[in-house]
Amino acid sequence: MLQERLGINDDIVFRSFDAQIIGPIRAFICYNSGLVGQAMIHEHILKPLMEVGNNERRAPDTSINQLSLALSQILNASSVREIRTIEEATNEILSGQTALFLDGFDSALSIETRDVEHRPISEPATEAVVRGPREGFTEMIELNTALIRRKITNPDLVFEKMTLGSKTKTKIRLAYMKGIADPDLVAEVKTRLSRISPNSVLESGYLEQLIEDHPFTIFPTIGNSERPDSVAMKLLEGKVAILCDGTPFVLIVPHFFVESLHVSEDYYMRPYIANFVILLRYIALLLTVYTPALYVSLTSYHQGMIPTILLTTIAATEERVPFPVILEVILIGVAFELIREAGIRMPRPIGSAMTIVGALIIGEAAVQAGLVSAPMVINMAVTGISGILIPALNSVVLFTRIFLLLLAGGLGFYGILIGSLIIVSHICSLQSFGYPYLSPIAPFRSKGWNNTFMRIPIRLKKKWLRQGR
Amino acid sequence: MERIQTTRLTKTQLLSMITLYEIGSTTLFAMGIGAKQDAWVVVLLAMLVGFLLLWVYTDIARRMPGAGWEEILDSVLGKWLAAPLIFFYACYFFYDACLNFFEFGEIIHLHLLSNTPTLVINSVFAVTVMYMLALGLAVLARTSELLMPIFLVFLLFTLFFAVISRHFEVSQLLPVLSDGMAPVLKEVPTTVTFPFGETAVFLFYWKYAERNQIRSTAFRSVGFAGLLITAMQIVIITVLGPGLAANATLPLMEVVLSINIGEILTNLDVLLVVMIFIGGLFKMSINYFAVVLALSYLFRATNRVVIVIITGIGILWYSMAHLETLPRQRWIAGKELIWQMDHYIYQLIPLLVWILLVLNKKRMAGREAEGAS
Repeated sequence: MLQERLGINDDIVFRSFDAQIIGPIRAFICYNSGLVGQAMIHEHILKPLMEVGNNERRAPDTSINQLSLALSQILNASSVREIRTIEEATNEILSGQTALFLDGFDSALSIETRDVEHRPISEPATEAVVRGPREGFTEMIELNTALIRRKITNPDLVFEKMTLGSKTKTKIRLAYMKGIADPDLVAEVKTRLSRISPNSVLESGYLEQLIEDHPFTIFPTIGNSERPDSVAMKLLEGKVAILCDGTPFVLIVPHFFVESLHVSEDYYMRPYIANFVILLRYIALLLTVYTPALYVSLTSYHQGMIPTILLTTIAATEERVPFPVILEVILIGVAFELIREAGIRMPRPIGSAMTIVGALIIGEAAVQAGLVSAPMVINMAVTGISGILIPALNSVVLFTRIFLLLLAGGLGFYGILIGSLIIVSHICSLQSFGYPYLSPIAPFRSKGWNNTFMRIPIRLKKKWLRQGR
Repeated sequence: MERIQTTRLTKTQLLSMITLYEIGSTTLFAMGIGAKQDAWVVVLLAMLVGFLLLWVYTDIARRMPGAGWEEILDSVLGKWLAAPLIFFYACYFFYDACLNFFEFGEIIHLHLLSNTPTLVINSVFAVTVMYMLALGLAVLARTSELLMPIFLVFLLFTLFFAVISRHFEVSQLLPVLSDGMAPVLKEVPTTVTFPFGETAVFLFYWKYAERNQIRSTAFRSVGFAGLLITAMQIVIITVLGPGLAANATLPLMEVVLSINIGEILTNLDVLLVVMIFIGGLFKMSINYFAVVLALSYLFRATNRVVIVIITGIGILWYSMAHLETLPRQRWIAGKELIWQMDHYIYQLIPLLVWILLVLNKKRMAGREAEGAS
């Protein structure tokens, strides 16, 4: 029967033999050749069972009901479990266990023999740091939980088990700190996860899209990270992490807007430079969102606001360009996004060559050919580079920039004000698992400011928190 | 990290809402300029009188915690008297919102987009505000909390630059009280009404705030706003002189345009436009949302979004159809209609309700005493 379900698969191995338990019994084991350690099966299952004369002494009186008890004394594998249904056996085999069937018994045993090949722990590509641990999560959920556990050696750190995906049966772990995390939050995450029934969960992004508060907003209301240290940090703040097998990206809820502007390294650096960098990121956010829109509104509506000398320079260069300013911005904007996307997807060595060709040669040539003006190229370069500083808000920045740009093209500075107001009131309306997304700026809490606009020295942190309350 | 109830106003939110509402559209006027160089004295005196009114408003909230103005009117005056009164309040704040809205549109038209028709400017603004208010009170409060620091920084920058630029002359303020108190006192009542009496609109909002925070927060923010307005008047007068200050359409704009520091910091009108935008926005939105609160109570409406949209279209229509040019609105129509009603709205009715509440309490206390004996 098991053969019927699994037999056509080339990676499933059936091996029958005579087990020596008070005389020979017909037995067979079944396992997935790619997921198990062959040596382990040989060492821990076949060898103890097949050696004649070895077992009578250890299992003197084996009745049918005490199969598992008897065998657990014979087998020296690390974990042995009894299974009763074919369905269960199938799942166990597919996830890398070895199933042992004995003639005349109505149950089988699932023996831990997993030894999956996996990528070694390496430095995460998305969140590179200068100072800080260089390990990142891998695709193995067991390894990922171990990485977190190694950071927080505390029984209060809880990993709860879940399985999602009717087809993929993906393993999910819910991690939180008991006593720090709000029980309501944990319950909320659990209900949301149990309410969804996806067919497949191939990456944590599947879950993210199914459980987020606002599916239609451009703002990310669920955070993710590849770094055990930043996940540990968030867990200690009382957040809940959702680990998903098969991806190094761990989800963290609730996620606040300001967190997109922080990296874990801010806490490892000395406070002066850390605060400077945080300030720099806020400036970059404003620059990358507003520069194109301001340029358009100033040059096409409010020339009076530009200092006269600068105005004449800009006017002289814009004169040679055949397009209206707004079209010019859109053209270069699209070109920039093209180069960026191409740079990501290209194989690494070609990528850098691409960037040089794209940025230097095309930019320079376009200016000389009179297709775009030089101030425009500078302005888009500022926009683009500032955007790279805050990778977590990549899509947000892109869409708000376009939105403001269009409004600025139509209504000038007034359009920018209106656009900003719409964006601000939209962010204000967002929530992440019941917490206001813009917290701690609005609703304002002085306590939260430690992590928002500044990073106060760790020595003073405790004092500050006490006062903040 | 903590969960925050979205229907409550925190202290900071209340503070920023009141401050923004108070300063709101005062950036457009020279307050109490009838008293010439003593305009700032007018503002200070008016603030003190305003505190009296504010005390009454907050005392009403203290006496009936958790009840909005509409509910208070209902329980104190009875259903038949309260309904038309609530409607009257709704109409009044509707008109006030229309005025703010109209002024705002005119100023943007004058200073930013002279080629764009006012209809376009106003409709865009109306739709934006409708969107914001449709998201609820929490969004209005959080937005104000977020934008108030920007507003304040810009205002302080403007004042600071005006002071250090070369047009600033303290002698313009002299002589202080040259004609005695008479002209000052004559100006005080209008200034009490606008902007200080207007805090009456918060009678609709007290119920969302924490009871024990209302009074301290209200006094603090009104005092703060009053001082800023006073500082604004002083700067306007010292830079422009009383004569020009009285006749300019937008006195503060003239001040800002006169700023020139080393040929680098010039053309700062953008700062003022942002201030007018934020101030006008909240002045109007808070009036607007009060109308929505009153109307949804009156019509027992469960879906507030519908009321928001209807009111918003109403404001757009009324201000486009019935309000005329900016100077006319300010000097003629405004005086005819609005100044006569304020006294009822801001002073008589709240005072009456307050007296009734006090009497009620006494009667209740007396009855309890009787019951006990």
